[in-house]
Amino acid sequence: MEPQAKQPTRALDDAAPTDGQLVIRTNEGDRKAFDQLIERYQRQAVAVSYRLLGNSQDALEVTQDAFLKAFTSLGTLQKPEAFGGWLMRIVSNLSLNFRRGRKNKQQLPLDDLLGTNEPSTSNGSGSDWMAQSGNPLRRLESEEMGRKLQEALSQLPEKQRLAIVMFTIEEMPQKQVAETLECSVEAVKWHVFQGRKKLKEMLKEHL
Amino acid sequence: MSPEQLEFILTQYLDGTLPAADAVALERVLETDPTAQALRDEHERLTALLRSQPLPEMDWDDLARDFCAVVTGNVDEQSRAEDQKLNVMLAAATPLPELQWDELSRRISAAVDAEIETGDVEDERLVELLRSAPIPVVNWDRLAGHLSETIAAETQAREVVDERPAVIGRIGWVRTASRMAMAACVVLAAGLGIRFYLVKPAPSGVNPPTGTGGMSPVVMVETPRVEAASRPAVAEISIGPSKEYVASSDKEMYRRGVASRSPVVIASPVASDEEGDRPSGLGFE
Repeated sequence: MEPQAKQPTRALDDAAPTDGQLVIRTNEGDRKAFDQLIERYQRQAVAVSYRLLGNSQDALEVTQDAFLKAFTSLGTLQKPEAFGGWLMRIVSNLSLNFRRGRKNKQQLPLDDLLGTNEPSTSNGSGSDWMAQSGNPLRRLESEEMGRKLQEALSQLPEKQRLAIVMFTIEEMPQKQVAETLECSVEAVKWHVFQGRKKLKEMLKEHL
Repeated sequence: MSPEQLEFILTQYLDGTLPAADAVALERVLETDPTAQALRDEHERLTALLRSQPLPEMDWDDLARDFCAVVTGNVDEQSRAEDQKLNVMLAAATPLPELQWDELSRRISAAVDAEIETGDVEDERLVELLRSAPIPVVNWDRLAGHLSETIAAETQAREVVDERPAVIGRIGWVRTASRMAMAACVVLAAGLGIRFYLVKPAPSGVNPPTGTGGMSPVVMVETPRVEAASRPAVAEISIGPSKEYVASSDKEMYRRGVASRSPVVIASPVASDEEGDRPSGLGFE
């Protein structure tokens, strides 16, 4: 057994202000304090959004919107110490909304309208799950596996999907996941367990 | 322990959230139970698979600067200088990629037309569907009778509602006050009647005396008088359309028929008694 403890962006030393202190300072008008919160949570926010959307550009857009929303409504946060879970809830809600909107959107194929040799940035699947590998065969395999993982995750109920992404993949603390999902720690364990069982069934040929 | 319970504990063990005492007990089971071992290996492979897809490479410091600039508006000097350089470069760059605007316009128009056409076809189908639905067999006479009865009942109900006394009449003190007012009116009228009955009227044209020598005041009333007619009364009655209508109408019937006749009838009293001065009916010319 290996206890997992992936820190947000960078490890917090003892002298670093807590989330609660930074939130209070921001509410008092210190914008630099919120910059520290951005640095602290940006990796976690991008990662969660990326796991839910499967596209880095969309994930960055959603993360930026989430930070903006958090900044403008920081005064409504009841427990300043729970900033992390609150932010992740905003990130996950915006990501899921973005995903639904993307599903409903019908776009005209415009890539071929570019006049000269403008490169197309879309790979057609709306996903850039890929390993940063120079080996084309390995890259294809990784892309294929990424698509399958994304498909399997998307078939899970929302809470199970979020629990798996945040707890199992991103190794966020269970308490923070519970705050994000607005449920108990025991419920998080249950969502993770149920999600794992379903994923095991869906991905059994790869296990 | 059921397989489901074992798996639940096992996942907590792998996640590192199982209490230490339970973890020790589970490790003992794992040493001897091949089913538990297989389950553990399977979940370990699943975890490894889920974590196998890395995040894209990103410059987190650079990203944090961007987020801060957008969210809080805080921009460091280095980023400000870089932005200024970028602005200079962008000003010199080609503003837009070459797009085939006509083709884009044509495609958008075609997409809109297709959408409208699809909508029209669907509308037509709906209309056809609605028209093709058979009308249920209805006993029209019975329906008419039923409607008449309903309307009659409704009218009757409204009349009953209209006949109800006003709400104010149902208030107790208002009703009592109105009765007392009515009684007072009756008493007053009776008193006035008795007074006028007992008082004798003075002769016409005589001014009332100013003194109080036992004379009652007299009221003089002048009534209209009958005037004697100098000649018999004649009434002129117009029959048929007005002259303006006749002039504007293009209906031949009015021109040749009604309109061509004299529209005037004169009616005068006819003297039928012996003296000839009392009319007994109307004569027409």
